[in-house]
Amino acid sequence: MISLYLRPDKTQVVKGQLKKDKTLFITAATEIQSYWAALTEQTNNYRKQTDEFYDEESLLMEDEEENLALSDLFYEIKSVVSTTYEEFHIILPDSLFCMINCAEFLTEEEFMHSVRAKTNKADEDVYYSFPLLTAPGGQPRKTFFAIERKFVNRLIAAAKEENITVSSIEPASMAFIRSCASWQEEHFLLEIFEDQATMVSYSPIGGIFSMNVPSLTAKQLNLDVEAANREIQSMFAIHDYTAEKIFSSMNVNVPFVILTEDKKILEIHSLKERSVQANIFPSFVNADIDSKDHQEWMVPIGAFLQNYEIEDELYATLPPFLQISSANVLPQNIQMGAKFQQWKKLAKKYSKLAIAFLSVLTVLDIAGILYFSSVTISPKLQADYDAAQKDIKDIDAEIKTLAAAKKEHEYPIEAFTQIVKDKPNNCGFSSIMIGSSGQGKSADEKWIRLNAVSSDPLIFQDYVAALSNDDIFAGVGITKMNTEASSGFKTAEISIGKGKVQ
Amino acid sequence: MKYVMIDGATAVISVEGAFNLCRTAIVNTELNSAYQQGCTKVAVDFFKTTSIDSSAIRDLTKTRRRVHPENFMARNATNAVLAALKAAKLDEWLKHE
Repeated sequence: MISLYLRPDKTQVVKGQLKKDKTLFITAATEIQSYWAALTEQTNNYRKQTDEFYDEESLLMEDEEENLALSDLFYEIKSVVSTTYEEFHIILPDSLFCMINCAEFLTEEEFMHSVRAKTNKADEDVYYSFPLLTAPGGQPRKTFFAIERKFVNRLIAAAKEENITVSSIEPASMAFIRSCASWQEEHFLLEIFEDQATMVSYSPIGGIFSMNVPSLTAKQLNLDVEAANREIQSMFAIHDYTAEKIFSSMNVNVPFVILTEDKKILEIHSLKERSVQANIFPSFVNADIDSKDHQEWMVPIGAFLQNYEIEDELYATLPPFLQISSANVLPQNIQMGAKFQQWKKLAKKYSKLAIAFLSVLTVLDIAGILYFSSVTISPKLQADYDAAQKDIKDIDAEIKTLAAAKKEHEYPIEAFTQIVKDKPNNCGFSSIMIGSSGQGKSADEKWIRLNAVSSDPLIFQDYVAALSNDDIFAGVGITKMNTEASSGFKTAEISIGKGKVQ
Repeated sequence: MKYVMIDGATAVISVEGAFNLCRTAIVNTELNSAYQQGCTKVAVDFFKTTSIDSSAIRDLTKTRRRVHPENFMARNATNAVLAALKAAKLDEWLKHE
């Protein structure tokens, strides 16, 4: 976000960033020359304008006279801070507003009637906003700001020329009051410039009104100190009387915030007597600005605070009967257009980032392909590789042979020794077969098959038990049992698996 | 009503915490309602009030004038409130206690 405070004496430029935790970081705060004349006077406001009444010769003449065009403002800002993807908020001194007041009327028609009556401006000549609605029990009161459209239109056109979209145009008083973040207290401001002076007063129960005080301009106050003292006291008395009438209730001798560049003025006794101690930024504003200079930057920083919601810390002290909104005088369609432009710019920004990221990936991919495709292998290395491939095949074959050989060994002697050792008395063999033609697990399960012969079938069970207790055997079991008809002997076929041999 | 209670013909003002500009506006509205309901006297009870600003003092002065001094009384002013009334030379309000 960038805010510009267009003052008669200079232009303040502030760049800030609103974080997710609603902390406002000020990244740049600087001053450039004033473009006040370009804004307020009927001169060429468009640097690149080329209509038939404004030929190149005229433009050259303007340049020679060093007249600044309003579009130069935006051109110069681009050289001071980066403006890409930034929202632009403009603040104007209250003296430029044709009407700042608060009243109990409610309808737009009543408001327009009041503007027509007090300023002699037609409805289509003013832009306006209603930033405050206060209703402390009685009739609701609205505060309104009205400004001639020509000033707003000039700014929008000049910004457009530099491809900048303006998001808001606000009066300085509203931005200042917002940056004080204390809504329950009255704030009286006195903006003093060389040829303009304005008193703006805020009351939470009444609203905001302003008084132009031409007798308190810097030029007038510097003429004669004694006369200045008298004039200041007189204007303060008039102001307090008016405020009492407008606000219905107010505190006595509320101090004024004096906003001026002319430090000599601040030494005038009657002004010094009633000036407030310098304000500082609220805690959620993070800026690398000396606290004694905070007040000087509160107007441009206050413009950023339009983006805060009612539940944020900014509005912690807001009385329940007071509603605050932006004092942005831009018409709704222009505000929506600015938002749309901002979204478009952000979408463009993120698209560019995505494209850049994908481009980097593609470049890395291509670089990898090119690198690996261009690598040459020396004949010696290739020969070593081929030899290794051949050797690996031989080694694999050797390992397979060894594994097969290991499987082929059936340990007949060890098996037979144990079979005989475990054999109980009164038991003999009719046949015994050690070794299997198969391979793998099933072969190990059928390592030995023997046919035992005995007169007592229980002997077979003892034999199986004895074999099972031997570690070299596993899965010992009787698979079949018969009785020989001729002799009456019992025969049992016993199957023995391979256990832990060796 | 938030700050004004009606006790017969007396409207009793009792503001908790700071009696400031924002509360003054609400008190005035509630007082008008009390007048309409027939109250002719006003009593200000500062027992729960911790501070008072000049707008409140000014409006209480107007209220006192409106109901006449004999129908106006204030009580329980201490610390900052008492100091503010004394500074404004209005501690005589408390003599009715």
